[in-house]
Amino acid sequence: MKQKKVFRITLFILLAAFLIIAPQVFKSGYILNALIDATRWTVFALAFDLIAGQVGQVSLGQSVFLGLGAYMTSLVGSRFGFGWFGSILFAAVTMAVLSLFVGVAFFRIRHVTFAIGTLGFAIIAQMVVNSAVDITGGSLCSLGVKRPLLSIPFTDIALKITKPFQYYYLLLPVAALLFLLIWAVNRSRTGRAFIAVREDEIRAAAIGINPLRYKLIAFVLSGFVIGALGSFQAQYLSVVCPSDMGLEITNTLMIMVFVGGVGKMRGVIIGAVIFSVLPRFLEVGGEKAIAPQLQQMVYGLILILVTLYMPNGLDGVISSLEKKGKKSKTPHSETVL
Amino acid sequence: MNRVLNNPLESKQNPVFKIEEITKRFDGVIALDQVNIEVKPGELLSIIGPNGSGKTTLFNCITGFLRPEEGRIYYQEKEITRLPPDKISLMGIGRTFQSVSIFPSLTVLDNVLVSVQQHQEENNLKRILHTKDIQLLEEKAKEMAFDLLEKVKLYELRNELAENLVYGQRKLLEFICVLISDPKVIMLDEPAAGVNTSMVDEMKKFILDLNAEGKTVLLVEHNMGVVMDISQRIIVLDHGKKIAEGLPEEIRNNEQVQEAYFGT
Ligand SMILES: Nc1ncnc2c1ncn2[C@@H]1O[C@H](COP(=O)(O)OP(=O)(O)OP(=O)(O)O)[C@@H](O)[C@H]1O
Ligand SMILES: [Mg+2]
Repeated sequence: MKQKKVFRITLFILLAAFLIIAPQVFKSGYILNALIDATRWTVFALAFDLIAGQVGQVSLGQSVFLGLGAYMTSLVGSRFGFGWFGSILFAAVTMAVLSLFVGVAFFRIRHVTFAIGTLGFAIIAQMVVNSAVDITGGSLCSLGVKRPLLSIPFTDIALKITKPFQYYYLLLPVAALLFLLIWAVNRSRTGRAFIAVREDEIRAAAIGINPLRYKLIAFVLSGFVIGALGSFQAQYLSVVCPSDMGLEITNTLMIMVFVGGVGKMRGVIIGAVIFSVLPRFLEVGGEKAIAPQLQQMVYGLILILVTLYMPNGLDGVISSLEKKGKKSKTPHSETVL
Repeated sequence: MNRVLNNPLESKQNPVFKIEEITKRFDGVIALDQVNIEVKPGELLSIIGPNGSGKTTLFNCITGFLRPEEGRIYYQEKEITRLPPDKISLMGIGRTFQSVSIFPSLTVLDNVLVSVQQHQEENNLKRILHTKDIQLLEEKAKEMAFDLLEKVKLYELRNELAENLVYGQRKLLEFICVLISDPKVIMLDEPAAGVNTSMVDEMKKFILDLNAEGKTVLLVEHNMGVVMDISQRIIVLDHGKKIAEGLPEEIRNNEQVQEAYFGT
């Protein structure tokens, strides 16, 4: 038990150290952008897993909070001079509030499952954004999001963020905070109540847990985190398009979370890193070697195979390997059963 | 012996539950038909009746999982007829389910801990910040959980996932999950079903001990040996109607009851 903890802490410190010094080692913008993507997707997938994994309600509408979070920054934050962090906070809070309304509506509807309800929400939201050309620019996208300005304390220098390594260092603390938030929630009594609701709502209610309340807490937290990521994305790409809230994004989230191991942070992180980095290996000189549609098809196929043959994902595979390792070392450790 | 001295059946205190004329229908079937019941504080009351007579439905109405179409239910003078189940649970009414209910992918220990946390506090901000007072409450909960786990011999298995327990162990786990929040009323839906005879005796002892501590116990049970042995009072349901009510020996000799059970 103790050994495992020491191992975990060591792994965590090494990983954190790697993430901090990575830009000093890898100078190529290509690798740094890959790191930025892996970091963003990891936090995004963990936020999706709060709903789909912890509290057990698959939402097919989380991409909307990313897209609208990005629009909040391009249309409001950037225009009203909220600054880069102010914009992130604004997007996070507005998406948390929107999540509350969406959650109250879709957790309570009858006759239609939550997944289908949120899917409808995603389709409609994208249609609205697409056709509100006057506001969003429609399919021509909303351009000209301001590059973040980082004012350096005690000087009047304001550093304009344009290079990948600068973006990376801007993202890292935000991602770390969001990661810590999700981690702290999941390991707390609140996280334990989430699992209770996921496993058996009736039993949860019988021990004093209000299932709707905990679903809403998970959903609002997820919206908060994803809104923040959307704002970062707007400032990083400096353009926001309706496709930023498309269903392909949800597909990617699903594959990351379900292949990695739904409801398990370790698995979700592994899944997110693999499936955010993998497509880059399939590129040749910046051109996608395989058509995006084909990629989605392959994703779909993997998803089906995993749900059939690997219901606990890669995390389940790792767990069973760990168990085997333990068994061969101490053959009597499991005789209690 | 002291149960005889302070006989709860002669208690002049207000009833724990006052169930007035409740009716519950499921498209076509009348599961409960204008049922009136008063439960006295500290009594051990059994509800019996043939299969499908409405015993579980009665439990579900009291604990808020079903809403009766007619009638009212009072708990310590407060009406609870339309309250949600989580609120009713937090008022100190604990229950088990006929189909054993546990959280399979939580550990045995976490199953017990999650059953008391809402009764101790529900401050999600403090929980996430893992403040000192939450840590203290969690420590306290663990101590209580360890005691209960020892009592039903599940302590060694505390770090196993609950899905790895066998049926009898699950039943004991669900039972201590009710006890840990120290409820005033304990409602057990067939605690002796499907368990071996030595565990039936153990269950009987647990129930008697709880009752001796002053807890009101409502018991639904098919095992007549258990019912006749430990109940202070018995209510009989048949086709959703209350057909008899009385002391065990009165019920045993009641013709209507024999008819309901054996059709003679
Ligand atoms: N959720 C439900 N939907 C429809 N009918 C139901 C439902 N729950 C119970 N019933 C019906 O209500 C009647 C009473 O059922 P209930 O489960 O309360 O009986 P019971 O006395 O607990 O029986 P048992 O001894 O078999 O547990 C039965 O006819 C049953 O089929
Ligand atoms: Mg029943």
